[in-house]
Amino acid sequence: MSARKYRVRDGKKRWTIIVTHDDSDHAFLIDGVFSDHAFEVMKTPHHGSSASISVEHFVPKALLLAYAAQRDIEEPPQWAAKMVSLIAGPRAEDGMLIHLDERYENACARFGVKFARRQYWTDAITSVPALLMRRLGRMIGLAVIGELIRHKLGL
Amino acid sequence: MGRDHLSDLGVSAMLAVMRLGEGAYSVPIQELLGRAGRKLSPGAVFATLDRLEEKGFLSSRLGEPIPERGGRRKRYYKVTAKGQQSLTAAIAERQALQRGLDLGKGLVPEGA
Repeated sequence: MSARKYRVRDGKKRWTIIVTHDDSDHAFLIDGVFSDHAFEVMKTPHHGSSASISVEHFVPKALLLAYAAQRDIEEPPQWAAKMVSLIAGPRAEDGMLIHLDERYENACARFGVKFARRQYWTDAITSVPALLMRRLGRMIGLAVIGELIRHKLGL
Repeated sequence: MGRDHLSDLGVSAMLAVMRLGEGAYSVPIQELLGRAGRKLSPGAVFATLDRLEEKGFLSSRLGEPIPERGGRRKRYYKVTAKGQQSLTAAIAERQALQRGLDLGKGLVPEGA
């Protein structure tokens, strides 16, 4: 089964929708949540996607499982993601957000959006001390190295 | 504590990385550690892996950009030769300390 994932903006919310193709090569939407906007997409062939829809090419297994469980997928909590980005710093930011997203999608598929959102927040908040300590440790380490170099060079 | 010293958590994390092989990135590492009884936050997993990499026990590479995650990349980890050496030493140290000790009863006298 070939499938594509669409992200559709519906008012302030963004929904993730999996699209597979039936025999007549028309887009077929699979999701627990259909907005009017998304429903229009369902009726159009997948080749003629409108400008407001970004087509992506990767469908994780968790999302297909979410369909099987008839659960809706919602974007992870944006404030929690912003907090993690801010604290993790450039080195760990990407890895941390991918990590949280993957756990979020798995939790959506298994336990539903409500649980997944709670888990995302818990993951984000419990990660703060370790990420902060690590960043501080790096900064102190760099400061000590800088001081040693200055000392060696007699500056 | 020496620079080459491996903490208990470091040993566990490195064993998890070795066990996962090519697919060793943060999510399965956290899950594996969790199954082994170490419940860690994602941040703690990252901090541990970062520290081990800084010490030269692990090396990392970035995977392919993932379009559905905004082009972000996963970071895959591998145990370095130095890491393997330190891991072997750390495990041997624990085994040496444990030798002759019945963990249920306490110290067993030599020759008993």
